[in-house]
Amino acid sequence: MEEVVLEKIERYLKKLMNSEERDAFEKEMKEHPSLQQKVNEYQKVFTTFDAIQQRSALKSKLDAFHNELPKQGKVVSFTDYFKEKKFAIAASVALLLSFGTAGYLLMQKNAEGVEVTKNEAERSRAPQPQKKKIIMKNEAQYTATAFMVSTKGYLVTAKHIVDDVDEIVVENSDGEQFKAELVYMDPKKDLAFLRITDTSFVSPKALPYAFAGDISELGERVFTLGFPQENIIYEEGVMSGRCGFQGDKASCQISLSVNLGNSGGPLFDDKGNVIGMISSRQKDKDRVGFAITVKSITDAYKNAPKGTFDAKLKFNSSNKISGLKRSKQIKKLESFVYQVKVD
Amino acid sequence: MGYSDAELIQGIRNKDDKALKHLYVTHYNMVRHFIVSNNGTEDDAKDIYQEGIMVFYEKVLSGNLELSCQIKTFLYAVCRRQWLKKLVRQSRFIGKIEESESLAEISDDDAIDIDERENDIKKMQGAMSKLGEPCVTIISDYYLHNASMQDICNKMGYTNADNVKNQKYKCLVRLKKIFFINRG
Repeated sequence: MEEVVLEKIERYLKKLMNSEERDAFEKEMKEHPSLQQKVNEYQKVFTTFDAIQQRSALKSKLDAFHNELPKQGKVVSFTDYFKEKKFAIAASVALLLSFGTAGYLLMQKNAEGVEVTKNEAERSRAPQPQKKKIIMKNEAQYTATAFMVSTKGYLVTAKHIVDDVDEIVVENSDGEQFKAELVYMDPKKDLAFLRITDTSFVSPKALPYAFAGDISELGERVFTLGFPQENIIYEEGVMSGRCGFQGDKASCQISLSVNLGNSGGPLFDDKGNVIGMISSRQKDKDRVGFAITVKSITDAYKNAPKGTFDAKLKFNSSNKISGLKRSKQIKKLESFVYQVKVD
Repeated sequence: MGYSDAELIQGIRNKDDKALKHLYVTHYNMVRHFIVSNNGTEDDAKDIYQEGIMVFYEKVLSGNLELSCQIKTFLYAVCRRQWLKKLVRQSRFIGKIEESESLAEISDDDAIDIDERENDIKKMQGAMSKLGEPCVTIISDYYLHNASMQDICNKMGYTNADNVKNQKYKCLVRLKKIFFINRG
């Protein structure tokens, strides 16, 4: 009966035998190949039990790690904190966290309470033409910036803004709002592509700006347009570093005052070429910002799985505004920069 | 905090969950990108990645880790292989693979180990499902959940632990038979 020897086999395999017993058993195995065979088979059974047990213990650990992953991207996004109701608390939490010192630029709605209220008050007094407004299911939690990369209604913004959101609405500088959808998030970089899906959206004939393949020289003047407040805001600065935070080659450093809400905004060179997208700023430093390069944006597009984009994006290479004065340039550019409202 | 590959391996060997977590978090996106770019879903990515981590973990603990490349490359190669197998199995393979990392094939020995382990676990699950009561409970409580003979005796209403022990051996003989019949 196999059951009888099985106890011995198990004790042998689990190394519970004393040396005397073990020697005797091994001798018996040598003499009886059929016993050896059985031992081998039970060993397989036991190691498989161990593997299953080990895997199930490991699996629950891995699941726990998995649940702590940000939905997309390994960058720990500040978004999660900004989604908290109280910006002040969230900001202080964010400051306490010590993953690097690059902080994202996101403006929570009403974060700057007084300013926002003032803007809205002024707006409501001024006579307003009929503008299409979209009622979001919930009040937008926070806002940031995006800009157009294709006349087909594709926009680029920072991934940390649209990561894990239910609803995206973009608003142009005229206050017109459009529904948009998330098309693609770069797995590695803080980049996302959106598409305006609203039927009321009229494709512009062409983009006024070109996308510059080369990073600007250090010291060159740069500027951005974005929505750190409800209204579009112009900021200028200089190109200050060829690499981004901690030597990141996919981005560059700029000395420019970037604020919450500027994330996802376009970075222009002096001629009005797009040279990057504002992604983050160094905490505790007022004028140290980072922008993701145009090359990273075009690479992200190229590397996206086939079928992600239903239209081919052609990154415009002819700049129509390089000869204009800055104020004129801005007039041309601003309608291609959008405020992103997400919930 | 950063870990070098050597520190990660040492950490896992010492059952340091922080090291394990670091490993897990660090490479998920790479594998996710690969799976999602190749006809997979987020859930597929999670499953395949976890398999890859398990393979690596087992290799580290078993002490037969001869890593001739970075952990990252090893994980990518294992996950890639597992995913292609799955695609072929489900006839979803379309003949073209989008690579996101430079490619390293895992060694034949590793491949055999991985397949054998996977096969064993599947066969065991199959055998357990055919075993019937009271054997399933006895075997899984004792061998998979570390219950004592006395616990099982109380739970199953046996009069004494010796009876359970005899029953356990009977069950084990049967299980082994089904397991080996099913093999291959």
